[in-house]
Amino acid sequence: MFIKDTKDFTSCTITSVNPKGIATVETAQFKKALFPVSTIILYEYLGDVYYPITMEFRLIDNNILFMIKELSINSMDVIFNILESSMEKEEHWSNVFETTVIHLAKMPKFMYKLPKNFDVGEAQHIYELPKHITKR
Amino acid sequence: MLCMWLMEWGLCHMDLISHAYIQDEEFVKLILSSGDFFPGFYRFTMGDRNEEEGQLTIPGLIASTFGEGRSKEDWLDFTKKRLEQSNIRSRERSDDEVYKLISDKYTNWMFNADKYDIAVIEIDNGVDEIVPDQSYFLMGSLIRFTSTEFLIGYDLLRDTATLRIPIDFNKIKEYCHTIYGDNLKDFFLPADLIATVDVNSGVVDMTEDTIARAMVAHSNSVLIASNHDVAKGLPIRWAKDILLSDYVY
Repeated sequence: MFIKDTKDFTSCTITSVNPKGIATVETAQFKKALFPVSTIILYEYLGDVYYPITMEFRLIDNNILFMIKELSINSMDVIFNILESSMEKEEHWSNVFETTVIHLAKMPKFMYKLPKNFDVGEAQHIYELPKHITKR
Repeated sequence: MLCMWLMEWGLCHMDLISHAYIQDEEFVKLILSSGDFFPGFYRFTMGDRNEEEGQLTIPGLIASTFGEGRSKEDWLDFTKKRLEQSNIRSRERSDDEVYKLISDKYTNWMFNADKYDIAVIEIDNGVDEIVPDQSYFLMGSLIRFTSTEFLIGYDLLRDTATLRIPIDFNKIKEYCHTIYGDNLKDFFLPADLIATVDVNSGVVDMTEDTIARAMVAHSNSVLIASNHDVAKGLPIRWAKDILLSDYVY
């Protein structure tokens, strides 16, 4: 579904992530993709924070790099304010956005490194090694 | 496999740690899976697109490479008029603070670049099959296939790409036909980055190849600009358009 294998035109939304880093991905046509929670995934490796290019293309929240790099927004809280406002204005739907940061043991592939001053804000943190989870 | 199981229609689970180390072929298929008739917030829909009176045209762009340089104000005159129209719509937001923030950010993004890249997009010329060595606009990115590689963020003017991933072209071509079928033409629009304008000096950079590319573009094509200063190197940088003023010669 994240990778299509049949002809369908749907967008993906990550609606939750469990402590082992398993995401629940829900798909629906754009106008029907109204879920109460939408989760943005970031990766961290050796102090740098990355956004996966796959998600800029495939998720319904497909504008994270546009807002960070092109509009120079340096805080996830501000991005969420904008996204929630847009959801209300365009779709007449109220939802909340959350962040999960996956801390990796190795350099990830196909990621876009975020600026050093980018503020991740409140997030669920999941660690590849050792396997534990903290909330800050 | 990234999607570990299907519980019911519309729902799957995905291992995010494995996703960080995604294999090349899976990555390419995932990018190609992104075609959607609704492009998402802050993106324009190509199907709604037409050339607007006063926006930069192909003849105007080519003439500008040979003519006298013009001021930044002249290049952005049309952009300013369009922004004023979009501001009326944005004021519908109930949250004044968010409206002001977006308005300020958009204005800065649209007007404060030193250089703008320009892409031609053949909006009425979607293809029935993908071929090597042609670039396409797909969901705000310029992608390109060669016989051995898939390129994301391709720049014809500089012959560079944000990402190059090895592929078996015939396998990927078959995959595209499986997931798009007859709708391939709705998502794969021939397109290329053909020029860069330095709005301070007025210099327009095109090569013989990009001038030739512009001249063979379909009659119903549009030119859209991207803020080179902040967007170069992004995989998707043509999802939200900046329209420059036409060059009158």
